[in-house]
Amino acid sequence: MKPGDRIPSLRLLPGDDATRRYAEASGDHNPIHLDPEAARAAGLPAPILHGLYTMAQVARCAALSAGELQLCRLAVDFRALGFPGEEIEVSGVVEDAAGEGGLRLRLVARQGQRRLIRNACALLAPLQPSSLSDVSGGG
Amino acid sequence: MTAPGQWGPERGFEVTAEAIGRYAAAVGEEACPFADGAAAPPMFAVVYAAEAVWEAVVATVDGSGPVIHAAQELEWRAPVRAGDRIVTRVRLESRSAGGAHPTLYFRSVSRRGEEIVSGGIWTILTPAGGL
Repeated sequence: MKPGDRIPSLRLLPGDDATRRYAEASGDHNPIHLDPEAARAAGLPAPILHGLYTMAQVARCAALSAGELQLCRLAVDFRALGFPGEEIEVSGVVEDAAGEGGLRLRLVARQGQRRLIRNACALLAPLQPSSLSDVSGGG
Repeated sequence: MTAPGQWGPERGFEVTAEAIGRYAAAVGEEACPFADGAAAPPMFAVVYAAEAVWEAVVATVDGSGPVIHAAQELEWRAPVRAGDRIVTRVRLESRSAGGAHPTLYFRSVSRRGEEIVSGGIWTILTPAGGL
């Protein structure tokens, strides 16, 4: 793949039980994701998808293009609310080569016209076991 | 833990095939190598780091009002498998005071023994005056 190439997109329809299943799997039981009353009390029209659930879809989409590479880094901005029952589409392009055969991807996750995640940046490369890095430094 | 740079306590997570499988199914990874629970999908990092992260967030905002998860960076260094014990520590990296939503940046580091498996930056917006 070369800079500018589009990567295979990912489409999925989170079901009505998507937030309950994600809450049970992740331990994030914030009621704004689960309880319509709690969501309304927070000023939301309905329970919303977990942002990290949507980020997981971006990670899945990036992995579709990984081949023998691994997802080494992913950075996202959460920009709009996602809702169960609406299709999510994740798409992206190859931004540039990232050295040693790696690839840097730029991705976006949408529900209709809403960009749930924009400007996501994924690095596909061989995993580099090490001590600390710029992101995971310290501890 | 309100001062930037101070690491919080270690929080451990025992990785099981059941936990990986439940997570993989919840995010739609059923048809991939993660489905049997032996290896964790990369984003499983948010599961084993969650307790340490949210404990740090709550301690920093003193439980005052809602917070908004605005951005997320994750970096992976080694795969995680069932049977691993992952330990995570978190610190408040920095905070910005400007605008309607002061922003907190937390850094997480997750280890298996002495080996770093993943790390992240968790960007949290807080209501003005909520700190």
